[in-house]
Amino acid sequence: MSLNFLSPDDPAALSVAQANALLASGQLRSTDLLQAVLDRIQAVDGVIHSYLRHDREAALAAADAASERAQQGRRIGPLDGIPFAVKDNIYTKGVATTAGSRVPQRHDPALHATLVARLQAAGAILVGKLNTWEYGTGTGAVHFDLENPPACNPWDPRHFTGGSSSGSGAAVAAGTACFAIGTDTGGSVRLPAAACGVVGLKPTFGRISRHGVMPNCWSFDGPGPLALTVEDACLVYEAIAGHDAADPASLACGVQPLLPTLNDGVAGLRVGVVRRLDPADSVEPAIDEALNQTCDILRDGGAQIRDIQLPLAPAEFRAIALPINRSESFSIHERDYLEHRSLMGRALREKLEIGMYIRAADYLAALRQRRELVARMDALFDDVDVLLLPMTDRVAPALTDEQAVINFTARSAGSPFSLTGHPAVSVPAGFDRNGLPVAVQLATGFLQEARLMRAARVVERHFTPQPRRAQVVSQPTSPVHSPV
Amino acid sequence: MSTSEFELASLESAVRIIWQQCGQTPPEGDELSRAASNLRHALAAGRDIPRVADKTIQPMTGRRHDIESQAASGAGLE
Repeated sequence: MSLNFLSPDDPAALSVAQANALLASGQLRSTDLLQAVLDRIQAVDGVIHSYLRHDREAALAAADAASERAQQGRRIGPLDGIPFAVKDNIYTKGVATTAGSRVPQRHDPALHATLVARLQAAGAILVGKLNTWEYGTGTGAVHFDLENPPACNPWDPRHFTGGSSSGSGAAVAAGTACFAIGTDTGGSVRLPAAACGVVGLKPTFGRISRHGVMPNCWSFDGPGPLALTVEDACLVYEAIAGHDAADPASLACGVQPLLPTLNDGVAGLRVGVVRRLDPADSVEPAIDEALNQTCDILRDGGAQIRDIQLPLAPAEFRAIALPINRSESFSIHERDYLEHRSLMGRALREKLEIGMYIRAADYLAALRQRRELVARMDALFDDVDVLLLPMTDRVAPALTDEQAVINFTARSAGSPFSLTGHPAVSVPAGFDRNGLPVAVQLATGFLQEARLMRAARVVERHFTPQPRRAQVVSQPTSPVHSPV
Repeated sequence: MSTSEFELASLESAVRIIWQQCGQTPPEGDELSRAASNLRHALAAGRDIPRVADKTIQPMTGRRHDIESQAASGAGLE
């Protein structure tokens, strides 16, 4: 196996924490950091398609301002001067938002997501909008009928990125953004993080404001950071988490900082291991091995490890999630479906068509069942502090293997925590023999992000003591699916 | 589960009626066939949801007061 890492001499290879240290000491200017990121976009985005659009001039102006602040000793904080990008379902004033769809947008172009405003207030530099499946919908298998080409995996562009925050995973892995913000409705932050070998955090439901984020399913949606390292994800989380009166689902309680305890280790932590979501499932050997190694690492760190089962089988989780997700999506997109469905890709059309016919009684039955499920999952977290489980049952498949692409998404372990709202993180756990990233997932009780990231940090320290971005080596490509 | 011609025709009729009664022009041709198939999927999806027998349990919607109550009580927070 040979891995093509981006040279550590390239500023785009730096983690947020590393860049922050250099910016703070005056060894790096944010204009130079941004230029390195723009150069990466120029060099590799024709291959990986992480962006749908970016605003070079606005980013350069923001970098100039950040450089000036640094020169005057007035840096705002650790994200000041750091270039980032957001999934194209997050509204940004001045940069168009399309959610990867041909459907004409109805929103006010001045709408600016709270989370973007918070990042900009922290000095971070918005570079642009990242690729996504249409309105965050599908399994990735039929989104080749969209206007934009699918994002490709920086570790091997013939392979899938996972999604739906497909461009976010690709951008962070390739260094076309120092960090990214995705959205997660059933695993859409964690799956591309797993496929692209970066950290993807889905915080507790309601912890990060959804104001200015295009909805997909109100009951499950939540934004989250994708970052090169656990520390970077924490830095971004701390900048954007917190109450926002503009989001009716926003939690009013205070935010626990993550960084002060990040390196405190896992001694005494009770870890429940879910080796298979469904005992009948098979998991690729590289993922099984990563799971076993993670158990050893955590045990060596003083954690108590025991096998455990989730309260429901994956099919039961999916059965409850489906009517909620489909019905709410149809409610969101009803008018566009009636007026513009011919412009929609097949994945979105099919989802909405099912949503249109879900009976109200079934939708409500699912929401009632969800309340019971949340209580059962919560009870599980009385017995264990952290759950460890595979994120997916396979590494990122080839884009040409349609069934494997569908299975990567459909058989993943993303949905249970989206359904209940518990925080979960996908953490890189090395590479398989073909150089494709392997990941594990950790989850914990409500609002226990500090504990979650502490465990993630221990896992990261073992598997990726020096996290690196991908160089992106263009591979001879086979044609992907023809337009549907 | 295979769909018989009779069942498909019935589903297509149901789709037409639903659209008409909603004040919309029903789909036609291939789109109608797809809609009929999706109607069948949607109804079948309802069968897979376990029912809650306890009539006091309300649907979980909107703001998550269950999470906030945990924060208020400091339950398990480090």
